[in-house]
Amino acid sequence: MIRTLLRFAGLRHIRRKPFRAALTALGIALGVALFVAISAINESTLAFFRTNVSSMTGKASFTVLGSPVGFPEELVEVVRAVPGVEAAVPMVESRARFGDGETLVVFGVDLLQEAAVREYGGGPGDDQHAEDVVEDPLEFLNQPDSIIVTRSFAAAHGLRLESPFDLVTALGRQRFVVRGLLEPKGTARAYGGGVAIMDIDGAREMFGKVGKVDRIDVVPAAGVDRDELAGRITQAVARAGSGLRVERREDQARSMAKLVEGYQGILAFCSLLALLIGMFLVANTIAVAVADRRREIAVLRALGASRAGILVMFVIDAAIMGVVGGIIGAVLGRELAELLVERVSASMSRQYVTPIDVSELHFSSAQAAAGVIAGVIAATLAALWPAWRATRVSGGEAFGAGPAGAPPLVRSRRATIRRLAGLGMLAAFGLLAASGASHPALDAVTPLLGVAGAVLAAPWLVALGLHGLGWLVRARGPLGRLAVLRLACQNLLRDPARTGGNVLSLVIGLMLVITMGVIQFSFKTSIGDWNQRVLRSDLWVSSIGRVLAVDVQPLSEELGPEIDRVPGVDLADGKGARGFRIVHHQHEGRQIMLKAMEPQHPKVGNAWFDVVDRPVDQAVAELFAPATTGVLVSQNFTRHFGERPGDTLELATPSGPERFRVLGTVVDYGSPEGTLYLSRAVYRRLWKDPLVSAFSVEVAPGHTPLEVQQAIERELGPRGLIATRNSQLREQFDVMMDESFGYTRAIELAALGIGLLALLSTLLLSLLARQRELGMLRAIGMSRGQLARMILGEAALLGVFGGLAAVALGVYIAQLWVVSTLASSLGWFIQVHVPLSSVAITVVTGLAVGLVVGLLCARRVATLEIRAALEGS
Amino acid sequence: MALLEARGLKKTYPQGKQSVEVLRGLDVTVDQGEFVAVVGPSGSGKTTFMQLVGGLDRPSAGSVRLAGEPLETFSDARLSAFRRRKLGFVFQFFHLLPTLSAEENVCLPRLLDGEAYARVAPAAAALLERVGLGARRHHRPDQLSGGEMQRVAIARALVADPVLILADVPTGNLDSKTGQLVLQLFRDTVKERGQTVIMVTHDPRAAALADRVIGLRDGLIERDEPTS
Repeated sequence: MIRTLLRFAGLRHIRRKPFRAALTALGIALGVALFVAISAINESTLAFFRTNVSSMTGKASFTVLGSPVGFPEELVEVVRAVPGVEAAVPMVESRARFGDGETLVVFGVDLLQEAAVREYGGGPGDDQHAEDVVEDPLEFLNQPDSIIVTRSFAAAHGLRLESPFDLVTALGRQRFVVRGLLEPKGTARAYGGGVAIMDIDGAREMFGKVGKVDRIDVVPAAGVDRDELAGRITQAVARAGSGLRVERREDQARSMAKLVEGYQGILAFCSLLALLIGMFLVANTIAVAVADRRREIAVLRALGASRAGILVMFVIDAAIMGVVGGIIGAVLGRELAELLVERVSASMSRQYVTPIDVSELHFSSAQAAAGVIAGVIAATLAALWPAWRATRVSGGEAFGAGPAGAPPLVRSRRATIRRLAGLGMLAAFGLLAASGASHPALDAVTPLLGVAGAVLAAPWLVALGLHGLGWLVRARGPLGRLAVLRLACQNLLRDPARTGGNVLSLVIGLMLVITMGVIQFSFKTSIGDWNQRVLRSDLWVSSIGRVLAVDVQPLSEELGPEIDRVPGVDLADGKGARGFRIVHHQHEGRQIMLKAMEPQHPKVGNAWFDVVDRPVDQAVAELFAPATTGVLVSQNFTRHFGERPGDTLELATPSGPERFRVLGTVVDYGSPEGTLYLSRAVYRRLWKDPLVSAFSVEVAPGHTPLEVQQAIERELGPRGLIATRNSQLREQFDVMMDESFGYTRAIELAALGIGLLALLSTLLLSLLARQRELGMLRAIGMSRGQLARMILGEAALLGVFGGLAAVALGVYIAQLWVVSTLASSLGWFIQVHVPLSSVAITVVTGLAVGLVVGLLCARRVATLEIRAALEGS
Repeated sequence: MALLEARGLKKTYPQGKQSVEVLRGLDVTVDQGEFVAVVGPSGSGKTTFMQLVGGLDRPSAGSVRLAGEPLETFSDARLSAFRRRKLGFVFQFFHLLPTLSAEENVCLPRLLDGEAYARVAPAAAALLERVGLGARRHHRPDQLSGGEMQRVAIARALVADPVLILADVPTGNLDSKTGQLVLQLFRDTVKERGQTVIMVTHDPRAAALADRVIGLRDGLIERDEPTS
């Protein structure tokens, strides 16, 4: 029976209504496209990390790592002495600016020992070692300006063997000479090929790491138990110094991937949301198709078709559209991934201040197949409910002469139950989010509750708005003369649940727009306000000239006095430029941030230190008191680790464990894990790191920041230093924030596209269902223009009220997300700021979508033949 | 005096690769105040004739002059306005808007013509009173019986004081007793207002209430005679 139903009713219907089928398939295709694109991007990012780790570790099974400022080179011998170690090879890793703000990762290696760990491709088809890449290794070592770059880097920058080029190092700008070219193999594949190799001693000198190494890669001897060896190395390095860890090769990729886990989670959530919107499109289309084919279903039932047969017929209809949509979506998804991958990786790089260059897209047939399967499952699940409704059609309806009189207005008890359930879910979401409770199960359930609650409540909100407007345009109301608008409004209120369902996909798409808008604006405003409060200096001098970040090439502190000599630099107590150092630090398994500060220039006072629980002057005075070893902790540090003012905190420093007194709590958005402020004198002593990340500079009376900026760049620009005015720093921050959220635009557009298709499909189909009524209106004198305006009005009202419902729900969800979920995961206190521009954009976008859909529908009904419409044909 | 003059009225519809000639050259004249019934078997062209006379469709050949106006020369907008002001329609399936009250449904043609509700409502209320629904004017269609809905539809057809009322099987969805009552009311109301009616019906008892019966068969007039 099912075969017969499919052959004679189901599949033929798809052929007879190709527009409807195409629209549904397209909705699924867009959802699948996002799903596939984001999974391909996430997979490519993980592949990037795996490539990075395998390129860097080579044959090594373990790597000894310390803080970003490095650890004493004597530890290399300690590790080598551990029984079972075949080779222990040191490396220094730095990031150097070159050209127009680009960054090159420079590896300082011991060329003669490298062969034990890493391979370097020297020529096509060769697997050569580092010393083979250069013609004469001894000459290479004797010339401290020697550097090896990858062929891809050389080609991109017009470099050849013996080409000179400049890099900004800790000593300022330095000239290097290309003395070897690497094929894109082995280590040369790390960081997307943006790497250079130097001799380790030269690198230490240039990048301020004399006597230090950043990592030791360990190759175990044959037959040695790796677990035992790892334990022995851990004990050996622990005896020699603290703050070091031994990471296995596979753990390194995992740690890197963990860094972007949250980010990838948000992307995956957005893609699932898009698929969900696609499901609504399918559900709507099938529901209207059921209404449209009611007579046909009744005839089939009268002829003996079973309920199960009817159900399967509609579900298979949807599944076929799911397959078609899934295949189109997989193809589109690949293209979308190509389009987005660089933006997403650039955004991740900025957000995590780590070079993530995912230029190679990893797209497998398994991902495409997963996309198609997701499309089919989504379409099938979406069809179940309307298909079940189809099974309720009685065969007796086949005997009826058609609808006589008016269909009853729908006042469904089920709609009330759904509405109450939606409000209940939203309330539960609010309570869970506000409680700050964290548990893996709760973390999964909370956003689902929010989305499900919004889905159930949105139709009610739309109906509420329409009722309000209906009151205004009622016959004897203040806008009673707008008869066509009243008709449009009342048509929509005829079945509020169905109207809400029609606009649901659009509401979800618009909710995504407003939610992302509120999150972005809240972050931007909160962090921007904080920046404005704390970053008061007139100028900032650094090697990169961009935002003050961890991974900039640090500078020698000796450059400070040189800056002081530039005319216009204000000196106080004989000192102008104040250096500060920002580094990452591993603390109890998390990567926190250290900010090592000097006493500030009197002009800016203690603005840097946004102390919230003590008088700031008192706390800062203690921080810089010679007898104190103290820290100021950020609010999120307290949230994550628990230490409060008065407590004592133990940090693993390169000089061994050290206890710090917590002097106060500060607001700081530098790190999602937490930030510690300490005196640079203390940091310098304990971390043995004399470098600074940047200098803050004040302008003397009678000079302008622009003048002094130009003077610094004139004097020190040739040395690679860049001065940035405070106003420029804020502009950079705004640009960075906009870029960080830039990729979300594509997701929002795709979601809106699906919403538009859903609205178009359901409105067109509902017009078909109402064609007799439209014919009657034309018969009693409604002009084509009036009819078109009525349809346009219906679509526009759906768009506007959909937008308003999206604003209400989106702001609610975003607010709780920002205040609670993000606050508990990042520990940041972000003030919720609702951007009026986003509210306007959401409502205007809703209206625009409504108008586009309305115009398309209006064009269709304008050509309606009254005779045919009245006959219902 | 002739209100309607249809001359050489033809209508052909495409059907697949062929075409079907539904009306094959009708000549009909209807005078002011006449109540005319159009009868005939299925496919005889009754409804098509009504649609052409009502400006709902355009003839393939021939002309329709209504109240002195040549309908075939009208633009769609002018035809819509003409329908609003000069014609009234009563449908077999009532076609009331479910979201509007009985009174609002009655007002609709004049509201579409831009009149204020407050101005139309008294006329609508009076008509509803006339058809016996004064007490139910604020009810919505789903709260009315079939006979009541058709009486609302009749009031709607009369509200613009049209020169011609076209009724397409107005009792087709009513039981015979209700149908007869509704039809009697319809006839009395238009007669006292001096209005002209063309009514398509299959019911001989309904046709008997008319002044004149036009019988169609295969797109041609088979008979055109006064009722006794």
